[in-house]
Amino acid sequence: MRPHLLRLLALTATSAALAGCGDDRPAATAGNDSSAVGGTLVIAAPAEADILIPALVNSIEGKKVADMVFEPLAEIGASLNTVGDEGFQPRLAERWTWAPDSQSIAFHLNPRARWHDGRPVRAEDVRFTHALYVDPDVASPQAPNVSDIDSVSVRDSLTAVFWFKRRFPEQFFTAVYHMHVLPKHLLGDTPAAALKSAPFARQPVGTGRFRFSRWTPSERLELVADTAHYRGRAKLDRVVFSIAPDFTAATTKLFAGEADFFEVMRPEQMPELARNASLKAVPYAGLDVGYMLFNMRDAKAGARPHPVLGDVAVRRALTMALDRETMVRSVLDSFGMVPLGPHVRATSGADASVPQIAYDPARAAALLDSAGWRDADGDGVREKAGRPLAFRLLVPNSSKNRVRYGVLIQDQLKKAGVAVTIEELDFNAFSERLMTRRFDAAIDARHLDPSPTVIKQSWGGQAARARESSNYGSYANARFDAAIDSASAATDPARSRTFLRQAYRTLNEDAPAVWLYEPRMVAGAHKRLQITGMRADAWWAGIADWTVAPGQRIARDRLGLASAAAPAPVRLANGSR
Amino acid sequence: MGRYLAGRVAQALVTVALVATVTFVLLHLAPGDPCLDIEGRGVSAELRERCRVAYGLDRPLPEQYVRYLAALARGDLGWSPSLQEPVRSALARALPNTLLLMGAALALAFGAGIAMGVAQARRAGSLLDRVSGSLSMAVHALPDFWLATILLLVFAYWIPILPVTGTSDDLVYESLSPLGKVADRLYHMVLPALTLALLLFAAVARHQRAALLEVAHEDYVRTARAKGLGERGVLRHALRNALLPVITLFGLAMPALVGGAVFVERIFNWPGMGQLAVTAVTRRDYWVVTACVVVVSAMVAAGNLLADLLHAAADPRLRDR
Repeated sequence: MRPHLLRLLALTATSAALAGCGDDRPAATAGNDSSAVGGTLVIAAPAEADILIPALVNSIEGKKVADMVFEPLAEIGASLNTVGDEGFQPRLAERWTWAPDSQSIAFHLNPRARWHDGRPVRAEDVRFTHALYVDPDVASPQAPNVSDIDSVSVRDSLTAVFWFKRRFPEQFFTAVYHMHVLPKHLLGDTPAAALKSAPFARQPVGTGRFRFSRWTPSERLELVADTAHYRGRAKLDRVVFSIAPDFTAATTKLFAGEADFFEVMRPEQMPELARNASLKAVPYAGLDVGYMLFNMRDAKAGARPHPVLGDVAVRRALTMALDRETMVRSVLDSFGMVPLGPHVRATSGADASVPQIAYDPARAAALLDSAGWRDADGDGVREKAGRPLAFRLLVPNSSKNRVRYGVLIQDQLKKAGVAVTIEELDFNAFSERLMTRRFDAAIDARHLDPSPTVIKQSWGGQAARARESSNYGSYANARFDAAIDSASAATDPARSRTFLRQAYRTLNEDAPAVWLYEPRMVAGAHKRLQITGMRADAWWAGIADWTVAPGQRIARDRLGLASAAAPAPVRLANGSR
Repeated sequence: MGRYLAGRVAQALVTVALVATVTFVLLHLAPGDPCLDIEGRGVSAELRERCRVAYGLDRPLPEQYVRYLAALARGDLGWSPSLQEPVRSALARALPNTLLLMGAALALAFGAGIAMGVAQARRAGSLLDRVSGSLSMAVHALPDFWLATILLLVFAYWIPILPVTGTSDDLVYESLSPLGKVADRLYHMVLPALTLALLLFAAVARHQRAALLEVAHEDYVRTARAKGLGERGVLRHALRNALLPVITLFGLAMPALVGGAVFVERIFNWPGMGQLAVTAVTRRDYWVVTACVVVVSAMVAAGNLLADLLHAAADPRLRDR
């Protein structure tokens, strides 16, 4: 009789949670073990978030918060597959149906999904979100990523239909990855130009398993569990981003016990991490790649090829002259590896069989000799027609690793008879020089998108012609363009991979950059944290499922939700869209 | 005295205006672009241009300058593109933190420095004088950023008894009682204020010691002693005159204190003017940087003015000039 009664009570509690009647009681959550609920995670943030509206976020810190407060229709899986809908997990959409001609996808919203202010999520919100992302006056940085979506229509209050301009393998990814659904009832009356300065941008109302609580600029930003969430409350009570002005201050917070988690530890910090009885190292995959980018065009007269680096033979020789394995060990120790190309190993298109330009100083010298670059005057620097084999290398001084790489490259190329002058700039000035193409070479780094075809934006011919694109080196090769276009159009994954391999091969042969490092990410975390998974594109994606074992809780874990600030009502700006 | 004061205020205003001008021009001539930070690196040229127009950066520099000065004269410090709020809101948040830190550091440095100087002067040549003098000079010789880093290292890693970052406890501050909030702030202020104070303390002590020793041989001190005044009374007599060099030091200390605050705020993650300015520089937020420089130069000018007033209060002869 007694066990029967307990089962009945448990069933009642679960039903209450499923009906959206959750409260602070851990038992009243969908499938959550009461003992596993609770705890506080303090994340040391090395910078401040910019804006908390997903469509306008520019900073990685802003993206982390926005991703936790807002939700997409579906979430990419751990494999980061971008073709079709394999691996994608339901979020605001509980299911979806493809049109027979694949021109559209109908997303069926979860009827229990609610905004944090209690209003239900409706298909009209999805249509509004798409309109906002593509509105030229909003100028969303994500707009180019959703440009293949023609429109979003509302079939009924819970069904939003995405119509595409063309059929392509990444339609589903395009529809769900870049857009987080926004509340029309709170933003619909805000003029596009006023969005950035609207109160909503600093105190957002979303649908995520965490809701916004408070933000004290330069100090902290706090999120708390939405206890009534339709997918079950977050297991942690709260997440606090403790804002530090830079990397060093952020790691100090971790080591001093003022924070529980910092996402990137450096090799030189590992002994300290190992000595600290409260901390552990948590390795995870990332999507970052660093490279020395060559400018194909003359920095002073963009129409002309670069007098030194415009020659593919020189670029190949420079690549051969650099011992990238040794450099990666010197700078990153075991925290990095030499990339296979412009992509990282965690992406679905990664291919270790693509030929690489190997380290071979003798062949590099021979190649430079045959290209006419010889050290005739014996000063250690090769010349050709009176021009020395020399270039300036831009390095952002905000990155210790890239500064170190600059010195190593300078030293190794000196042995090959190449004079490299390092120009250290702060990040803003560095970026400006890249964007305006006023550089010879630069050590740049990218955080990639899971889509393997995203490299088209950085290396595609069309992007090279558009001066404002992110193809800063103005690299262009019709063979690469054709291969990457075919890869993005192929519906068969195997065929798509074949084309991708061709694209990577072309790029490696042309050497528009020397692929320097692919970091192996290692986070520092408090030992009491049970981290359930860190996705390569967004390590924070699973925080709602991280837990703190009851027996290991410290004072800040026992704060509960009572002290959480209720979000202030969001004032609406005047005007209309 | 009134004319003198008015003259000093006018002088301070001119100094602030000059500093604002130089800052404005240098910032705009430096490489970089605020719109890169606002719109992101991959932004199109069209969006970037739209951003430049929105912030008036497309206009000729002299026009931008005149507009800025006109706005400044109206008390409008502009809109911060990196923070997406009025500059005055950012300043209103940061300035009290800096004033609190500098105020605490000044009180500590001058309070302890004067006491130490007096103690050393009274036992001039003793072991205490020699040891404390050497120690304080050693501390004085340390660069501010080094001292801050060492204190951070000691209290973050070796003896973790004091908070090393921030102005308050990230989690419990909001739920504390008013008294608890004050205590929490003071607790968080110990390290940054101590670092800043240590930088000044030795100089104050040295100046106070030297000044007291100098006046100790003055006729009026000898007369006071001859009239049978106790040592305490003699000290009170002598100290008033011996304070003049220390007051001068107060005026001179302001720029050093402001400079030190930049490092200290950065290292201890204290969200004051220094940290605001440094972050704004990296993000090319011209408006915040210029406002910070204007406010800081005004603070330095005010500090010097205050030193003059204290001089006049301590030395009646100056009031009549």
